[in-house]
Amino acid sequence: MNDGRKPIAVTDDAVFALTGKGEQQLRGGHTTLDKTALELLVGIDGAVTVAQLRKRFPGIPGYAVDRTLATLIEDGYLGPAAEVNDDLGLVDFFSKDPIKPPGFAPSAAVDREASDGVTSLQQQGYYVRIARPAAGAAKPAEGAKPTVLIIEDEELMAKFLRRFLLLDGIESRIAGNRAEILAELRRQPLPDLLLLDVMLPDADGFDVLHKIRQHPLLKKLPVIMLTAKATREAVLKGLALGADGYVTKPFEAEVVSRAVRNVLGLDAA
Amino acid sequence: MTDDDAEYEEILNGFRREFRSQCAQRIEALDARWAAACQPDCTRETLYEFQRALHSLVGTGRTLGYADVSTTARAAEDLVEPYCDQSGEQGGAQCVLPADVRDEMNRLLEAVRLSLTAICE
Repeated sequence: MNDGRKPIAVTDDAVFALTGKGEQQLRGGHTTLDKTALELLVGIDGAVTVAQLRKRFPGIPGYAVDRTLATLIEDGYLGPAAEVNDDLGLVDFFSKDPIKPPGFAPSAAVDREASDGVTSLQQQGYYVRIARPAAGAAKPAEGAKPTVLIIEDEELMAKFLRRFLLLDGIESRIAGNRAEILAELRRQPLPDLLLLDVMLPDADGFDVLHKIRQHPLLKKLPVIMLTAKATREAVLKGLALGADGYVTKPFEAEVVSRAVRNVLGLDAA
Repeated sequence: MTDDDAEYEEILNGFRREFRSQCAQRIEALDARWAAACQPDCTRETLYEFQRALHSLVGTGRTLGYADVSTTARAAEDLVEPYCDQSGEQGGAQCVLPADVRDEMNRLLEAVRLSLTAICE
């Protein structure tokens, strides 16, 4: 709530930024917000005005943007950019990665880009851990272990996920290319959830998600994007296509199993 | 440290060892894809395969605790990504990288190799 302060106006030139609570929604692995609210949180970076934000989301009616922003402010997920900046330093939704490996000597051009805050370098530190309960998805049977289909072409990463999910009582199957994905989706019983990478050898994870959401029998299958595609545009694309979660690599194994449980509506183990 | 933490660490260390043991192969594969990407008949698919090799290092490196691998690979991936866009009209068409981009990539790839060599077993 707004603690009795004067209500914050959602005017065309107003600029808002994530508060710590807002960051928690995107990076905490458990999101309770609806799709529109999530998209706006991802899209806000403390720099765009409300008018620019409306243009960024042509699919969301202007009144819905305003109403959702007002609710996000009222609930403490967003605040005026200057205020948030002063208090928490969270205005810039991206963060730069200061780590430089031995022997890595950026050219003057790269140095200049870094100091100017060029997007491609800012994107290095961008991460989200979005996971919200899937609407209408069937829960695993009582006492049964949930089963996840890991769609991941990097063998070591797939094994890593499988091993750590099992530690948390989650079974998994693996598919690394288009043929394996099709074979797994034809196999009964269907998995309870997909963990979906984007860059596959002969398929694009976003296309896979799009096709799943259009398929009459698969459309309610919960999907979490798990990918190193970590630009704001990629996250928005995943959410817009109907992903129930978006976790960027690199990640901690515990984050993934928590996201799976959240999306499936299961209690933490 | 609890038993669960110890088990987690032990398993994680196993994956780290496996990753380190693959470093030489990964450098070799990356170099082969880069060599293909430098050919005059390079297509967007060839570049995509090169990008995918870098992308894989970005995701796996830091997840297993090797931040330098991810950072260097990310810089290289960012450079090549605009040329790999499959959605454009020329998707699948021949796509030769400009000379200055190739030079910059050679420099960035050296950093990727160094980061992998530093942890190689």
